[in-house]
Amino acid sequence: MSTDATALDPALSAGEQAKRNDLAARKPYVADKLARINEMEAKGEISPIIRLEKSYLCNFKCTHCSAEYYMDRHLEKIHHIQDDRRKIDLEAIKKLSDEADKLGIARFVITGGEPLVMKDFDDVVAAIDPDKHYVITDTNGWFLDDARAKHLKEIGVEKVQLSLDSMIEEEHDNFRNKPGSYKRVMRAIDASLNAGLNLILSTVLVRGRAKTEEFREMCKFATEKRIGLYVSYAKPTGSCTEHPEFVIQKEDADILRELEKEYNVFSHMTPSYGSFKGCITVKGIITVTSTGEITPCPYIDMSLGNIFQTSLKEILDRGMRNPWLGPNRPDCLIGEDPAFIKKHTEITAGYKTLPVPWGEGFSDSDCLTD
Amino acid sequence: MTVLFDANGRCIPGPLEAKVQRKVRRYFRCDQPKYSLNDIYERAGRFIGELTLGVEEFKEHVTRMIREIREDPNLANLLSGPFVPFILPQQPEDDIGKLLQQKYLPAVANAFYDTYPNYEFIDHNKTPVLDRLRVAAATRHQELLEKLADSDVVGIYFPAFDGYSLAAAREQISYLPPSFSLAGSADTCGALVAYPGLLMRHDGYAPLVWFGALETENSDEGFHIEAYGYNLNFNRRMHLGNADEYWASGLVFSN
Repeated sequence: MSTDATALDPALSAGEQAKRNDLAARKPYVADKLARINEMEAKGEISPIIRLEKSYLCNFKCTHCSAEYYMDRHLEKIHHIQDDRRKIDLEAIKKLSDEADKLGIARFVITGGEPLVMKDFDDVVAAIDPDKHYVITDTNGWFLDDARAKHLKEIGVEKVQLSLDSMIEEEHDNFRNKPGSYKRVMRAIDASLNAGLNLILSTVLVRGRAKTEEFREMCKFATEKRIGLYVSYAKPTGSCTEHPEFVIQKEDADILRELEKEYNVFSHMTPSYGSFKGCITVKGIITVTSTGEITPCPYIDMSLGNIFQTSLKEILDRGMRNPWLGPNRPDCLIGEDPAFIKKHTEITAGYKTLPVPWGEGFSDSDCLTD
Repeated sequence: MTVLFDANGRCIPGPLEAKVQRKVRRYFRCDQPKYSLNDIYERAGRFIGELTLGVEEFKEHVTRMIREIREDPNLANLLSGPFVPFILPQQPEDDIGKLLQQKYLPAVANAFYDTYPNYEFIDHNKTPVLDRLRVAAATRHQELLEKLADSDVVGIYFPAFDGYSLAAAREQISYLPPSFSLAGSADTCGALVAYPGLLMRHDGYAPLVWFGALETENSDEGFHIEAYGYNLNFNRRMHLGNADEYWASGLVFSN
């Protein structure tokens, strides 16, 4: 049964409806898949966003980077090893795109590392196939000027997720360890909007930040610009493993939920257009690492399987039947649940190359009460 | 002797066919309400409807029911978990969805706003409830509604079915004494009027509570109330027979 992607939904703002109509006119197949997601969820099916980490190359070295432990620079400097595992290539991406499409999955995020330093970025977009999938890219904004934003739009990228860590220029630059990065973000905002790209700002919430005037300023800034502000809780993984004091408390999450009433701000737990998933592990997001491992969220370094060995469907099924990952829950598993954080920290500490393979971290014998 | 509840007041699953978590972490839980019976009585009268029973009679009923539970070694553990007494004014039987929409949800909303004027009660449900909700078999909820048609009902609400699927909670009722029933909409809402902060926690998350005794023509569908930060939401979702640790159904002990 076909779902009319342009059908008026009273729950949508005029702006969101206009965006959907525009997409339906240009990419009806993608729009139709996106429009079916709620219908799929009602049947117990899932359509997670696929985050694709083809390369971890990055021009930044951020204090809170969740990918740092995957990077060659970390493996070489800290562990004195080279990662010789098989890497995903364009053929693997094409195959993944086809498998995902057959499952009704509709969204890919190119992430990293910094995607815009990838020499084969355009080829990756083509391999995903922007006529089959809604393509999003993460970026720190350093290389996103008017010309690059226009080019992204031309090759089929629909949306940019741009990282901004503080409205105080010095704080952002310090957090990102990159002088001048705040100014580049501001330039990238204008460039993305000028190019007609959908844009959301992405920021990391560390403990206590939700109460600050600076955070409220960022909420106001995004709302006045009519940009969504996506808030990612700091998780005790990657570089943040060394900063447990960044991990939020429930009060931070609750303050954010109050700010959602006033500003265009949201987290991955925020109900969205009738979808009340709570924590989105597997149900709403998965990550494909450069070695083809699939993890249930960007911050959990334990694999559910490898795309070179196991079908995407079986990997997703493993995730959904896992008692930590499949069930509905209102909190962030890796950002808030102390028992899971402890388990994850203990297991991942024993591995130099991440993620921990299926069967050694997650497995079908997992139990909440071990 | 068969102890029916564990040391935390959770109902110990019997030999159930439906999905249930045999052991739970109690990560999603309610704190024990610090209630006042006078306040509960006053709120029920103000927000749900006029009561026939006097406040002293209400208090006597509650005291007696708590004593009855405490003195039964098979039941006593139930009082180690969270619970809240409630009173519902007499209500002639009518369409359950209509009463939910026109009486009980507005009562929960008004009681919530009275206690938490800075926060919101939101009805997110977009699907019709009129002429759709019915009492599921073997839940004993129908008996409570029949009693309610004759007189005010005093009860105690326990979110004791955490980690149970709705089907498992319904099955489990058959292993409990006759004074127990599975909570539907009237009694769950009664408990939330009695203590609007039942699902409010500042240092952790409370469970989502289902109207487990109710069903529709779609066996995968259910209605529930849950906290969202400091706010309260009514909604509907597909439970698909699952037994998530975040989900609880309520157990009611009534007069």
